[in-house]
Amino acid sequence: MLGIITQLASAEATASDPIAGLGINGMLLAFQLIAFLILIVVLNKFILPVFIRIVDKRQAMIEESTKAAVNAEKNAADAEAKIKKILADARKEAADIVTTAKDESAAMVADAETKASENAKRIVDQAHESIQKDIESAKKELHNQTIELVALATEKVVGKAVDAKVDEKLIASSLREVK
Amino acid sequence: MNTKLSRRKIAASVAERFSRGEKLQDLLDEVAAYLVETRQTCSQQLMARAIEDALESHGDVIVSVASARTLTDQQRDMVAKMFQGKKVHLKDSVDPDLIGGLRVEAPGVRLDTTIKRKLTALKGAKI
Repeated sequence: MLGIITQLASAEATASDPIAGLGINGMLLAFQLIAFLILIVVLNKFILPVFIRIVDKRQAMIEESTKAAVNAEKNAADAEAKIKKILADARKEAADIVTTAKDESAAMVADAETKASENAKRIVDQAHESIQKDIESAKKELHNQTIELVALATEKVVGKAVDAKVDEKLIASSLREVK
Repeated sequence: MNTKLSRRKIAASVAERFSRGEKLQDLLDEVAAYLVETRQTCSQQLMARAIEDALESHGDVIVSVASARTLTDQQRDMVAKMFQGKKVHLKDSVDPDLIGGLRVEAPGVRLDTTIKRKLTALKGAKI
């Protein structure tokens, strides 16, 4: 603040040259303006196009990347949709396979049970038949042995029991029956 | 007896001679000798049947009776009465294996009431 006031005070002293009164060197200012203009021209001519090219290139890259990202996102969405569809189809197919397998296994089990039941029934029938045959054979054998024993025992007993008197009665009875 | 004679002729001759009073055993011995000489022993059953038929035609019946014990006269009479109107010649034999009862065999007649036959029938009932 004090510096500004000092400058204003000195300006009044140099009122004859207002620019010089402000402490500005006109020649230096003009020289600096020209240098600045030259700098601007040089920058605009040589440096700025390079930066613009780099920026444009970068922007193109970014746009391309964005586009690629969008495409990738779209592809990813498509792929996801496809995957979902494939998964759904696979699930449905798996469910169908499982259902078919269950049906087939149930049919196989039922068939196996039926066959097993039939086999068991046949085996049981055969066993019954065999047992029945054995029983019949045993009955016949028992019957025959009983007859043999009865005949033998009867022969022994009757042979001793039949004396002359009994034999006479037997003969008389036989001859009476003939008459 | 070198020539072969028919069974009927032989049987008729035996029946005629038997009716004249010759012993049956002697006649049968002659027939047996003839069968041996003419090598016809295999037809002895047929010859016996022919002789029985011939005797029957003459009114004679040969009755074979087998029993376990010797028949009494009463039993023999009862057997003879089975063939009324015919002259019965009884040939009885004793076979203890018969146990009891009697077996009567004559042309056209067969009666077996022996206990042995009943036992045999019982054994025949085997399955």
